[in-house]
Amino acid sequence: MSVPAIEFKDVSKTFDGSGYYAVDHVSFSIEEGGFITILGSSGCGKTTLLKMVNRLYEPDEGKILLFGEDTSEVDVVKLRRRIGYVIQQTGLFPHMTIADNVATVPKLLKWDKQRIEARVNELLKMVGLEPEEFKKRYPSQLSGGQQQRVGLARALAVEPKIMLMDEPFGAVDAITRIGLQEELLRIHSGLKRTFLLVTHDIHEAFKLGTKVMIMNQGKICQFDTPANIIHDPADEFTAALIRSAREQEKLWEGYV
Amino acid sequence: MNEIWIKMQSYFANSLDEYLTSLGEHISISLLSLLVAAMIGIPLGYLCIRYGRSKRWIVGIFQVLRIIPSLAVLILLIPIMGTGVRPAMTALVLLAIPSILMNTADGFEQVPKFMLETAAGMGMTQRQIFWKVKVPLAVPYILTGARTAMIEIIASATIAAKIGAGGLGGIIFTGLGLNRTDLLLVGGVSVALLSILAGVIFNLLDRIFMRYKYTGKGEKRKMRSKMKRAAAACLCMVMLISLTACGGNKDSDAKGNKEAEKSSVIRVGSKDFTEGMIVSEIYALALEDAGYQVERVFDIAGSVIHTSIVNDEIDLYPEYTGTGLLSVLGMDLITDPQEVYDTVKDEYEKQFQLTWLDYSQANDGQGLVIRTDLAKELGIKTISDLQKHASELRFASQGEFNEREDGIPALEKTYGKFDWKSSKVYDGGLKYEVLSSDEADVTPAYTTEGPLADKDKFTLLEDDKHVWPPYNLAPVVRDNILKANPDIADILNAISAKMDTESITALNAKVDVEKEDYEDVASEYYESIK
Amino acid sequence: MSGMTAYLAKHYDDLLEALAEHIELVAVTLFFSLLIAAVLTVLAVYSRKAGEYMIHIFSVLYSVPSLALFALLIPVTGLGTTTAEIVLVAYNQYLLLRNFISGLYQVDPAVVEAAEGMGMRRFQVLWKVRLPLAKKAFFTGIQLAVISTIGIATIAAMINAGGLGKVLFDGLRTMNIYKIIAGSVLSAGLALMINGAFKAIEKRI
Repeated sequence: MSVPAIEFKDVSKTFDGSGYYAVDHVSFSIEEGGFITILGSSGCGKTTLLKMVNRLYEPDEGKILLFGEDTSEVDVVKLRRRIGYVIQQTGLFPHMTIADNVATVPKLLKWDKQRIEARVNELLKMVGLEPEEFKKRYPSQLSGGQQQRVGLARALAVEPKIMLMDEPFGAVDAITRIGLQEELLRIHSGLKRTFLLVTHDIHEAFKLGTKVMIMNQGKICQFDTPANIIHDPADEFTAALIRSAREQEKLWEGYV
Repeated sequence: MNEIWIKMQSYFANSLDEYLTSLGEHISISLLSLLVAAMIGIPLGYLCIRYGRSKRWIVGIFQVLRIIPSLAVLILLIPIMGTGVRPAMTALVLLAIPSILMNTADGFEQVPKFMLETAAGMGMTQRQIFWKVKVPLAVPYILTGARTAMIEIIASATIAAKIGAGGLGGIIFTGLGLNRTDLLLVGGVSVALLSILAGVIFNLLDRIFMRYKYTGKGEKRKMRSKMKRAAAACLCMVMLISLTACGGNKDSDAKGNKEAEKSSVIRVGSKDFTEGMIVSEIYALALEDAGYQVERVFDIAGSVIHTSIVNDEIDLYPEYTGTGLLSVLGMDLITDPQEVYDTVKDEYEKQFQLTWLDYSQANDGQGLVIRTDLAKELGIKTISDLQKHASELRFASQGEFNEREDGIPALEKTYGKFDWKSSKVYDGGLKYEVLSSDEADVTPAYTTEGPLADKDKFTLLEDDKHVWPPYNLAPVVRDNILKANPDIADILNAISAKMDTESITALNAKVDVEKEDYEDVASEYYESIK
Repeated sequence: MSGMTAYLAKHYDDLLEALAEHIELVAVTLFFSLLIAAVLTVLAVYSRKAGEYMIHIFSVLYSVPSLALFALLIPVTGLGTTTAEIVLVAYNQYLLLRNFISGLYQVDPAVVEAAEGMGMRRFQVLWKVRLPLAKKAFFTGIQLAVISTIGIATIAAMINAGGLGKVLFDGLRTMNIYKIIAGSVLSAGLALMINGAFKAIEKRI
């Protein structure tokens, strides 16, 4: 049995010692190469959970293991350089060109110029942007969808084994979003890395995830493949979720 | 228009080094102040954000500084730091810090949190986040602050010339004092251009370093319209300047000598130095005592006052026979007091319809004064001696003296060029301080000035080649006023009869050395001679 | 210290006169500044381009030091309060116009759109929607203009416009510390007090 990519052992997080658990004694394990989507409404703790993987938040209780290593014992900066991180607002540095943005971590790791340049070209192609056209531009000159692709490329730069994505397509229009989702699936299947994506959109969660983690009020309701969840919802909350999604589909079916 | 242009050209031809020196001083003091202000303001601004608690009151203090008029800050430092470049720079730095500090604080504050979080998430150390993300994103704000500060500094540096800091302000002040449009234009335009240039440079810096801001669509169109606007602004400046130059040609037509009714109000003018004000005040008191209503129009610059009386802006003022001869009439030197008086009396009547009443024995001549210790050391007793040693001495000019017909030009005609070690412009009231504090060695003086009484400190040099005529004090009155109120002559002549050089010097000393008020001194003296 | 009180006791009327002159200069300037700025602002509403041109021209003017502008204007308008007022009004245009115009245009476009959608004409939109919402910006603009005017008016004393600057320059000329302190404290105090007053009013709005 191979070592799980990500393992949470009884992890909890409160803010300001309020006694309210943002993440409530959560435990799970993710196999390498999976595409896990975390689904839940605002305030359910999904983003908090995600941010504990790369230690932007530190857990108050419990242990987090990445490939068997306890994250609290690793130098945090080195840890983060091995993990890709994409956020909704893209966080592209406005004062750097696209090429410089993508090359951020390689530069931090002091790769040599040619290696960086080659990698940048490779990455831009991977996310569907023509390198020669986009390399020298600035983020403000790109559309929202293009910016998010760059954000992806930047995160993938040093071939991290784990990719964290916090509602990456939330700020993008519905049509562009579909394209980006397909892109993401394609990249994932090509790389066989572990992807962890947070979303509040049930369709996105079920479309992308090989397994879906449903969260509510800091706890995991169910963590299983989409098919299993649909057939066998673990609790009323999850069942209600499936029901409402079904209602929407029925609407579409009526028009076929 | 032409006349002004010619005058300007001759100014540049004759005084190019002085101009360039002033320009250099202005630029260097401005740049230095900006640098110091930046070195203090930027770190402080950052610290304010870092340690939020102190932010409130630091920002508060500097907000207050921004509100206080810059002139007040500048002058308030004088009792503490004296005159010259140091207090000037201190004031300039103080005035510049608020803008830099607050903009730096804003700059750091507005960096979005998610940007910093992303950077951290990618594995940047705190240091890397600071230098690669925070600083570059804060720089546009810091630049804006620096630009505002620079404009403020250049403006205040212009005024700082008055406290001996050098710079282009001196040219403007001299122009004001001598009513010379050419100087006003040279000074004014130079400062204006300097300021505008600073703005342009900062804009350029912004473009070069923040290229990423200027890549939006329609940038080219924006650039073009910006150029159009800049051109419009320049056009305005040119129009303003030509308007000025044309307006300056407005002749001071003597505002006709219409028959004046028995005036109810006599306007007594005075020049802008202690003695002038004391004497004018005495005249005013005497007239009031005789039942006249007096309006005091005091503190008029030396070379504007003649124009004032000719233009019917004042009715009478105390003048010196020598000044009338050399400066106003532009005639040649005469050394006999009576002859000088008769000459000016005739000419003034003929040319200006102004009457010189009786002159007093008080002779307040022009002179050059040097610190006594230096005089002894270099063996300087006369102005000829001085001219020989000029290159070892620092001259504290009062601006006007360099340009007046009976100032440096007259001296150099007779004694030869004065090749001073350095020559700086100071406000007239500061010259003895400047000498005492060893900031300068020689300064022009009037022979009845109070501090001269202290011969151990200051030595008046002998005018061995007789450049200057006698300067006897006498009232100059408009003919029409005198005709309507003939008893003015008797009143003022009675005063003149009692004044002599000794008494005038003593009066001056009371104000300049003992710091009494000129009105009190005048009134005390008047009571004693009534 | 006793010297200071003695000076104050003797000359409080001179100081008050200078203060009065100063306030008068500021008041007159402000009146004309607001008048002109109001007219120019309305113009700017009708033509945004004209507005941008105006702000740009006045910004260039504003960057020119006051003494230089005085120097350039004196041959035309002479020494005295007139020249000072002209320069001060010109300076204020930059501060006022910049704040007025940006205040009017930073109103949420959605709100304007709603108003226009209801059938309001441009002028009505200006009057009923933009103006009320731009109140804060207007207020700040006026505050800035007043403080700036108080400051530059001190310099205007140099060209015979009177005011508190005169006390400062007299003090400078005769190296009279009491005058220097009195002048500085009065001018600084005036500025601070007025600023405080503005802040107090701001809270009420």
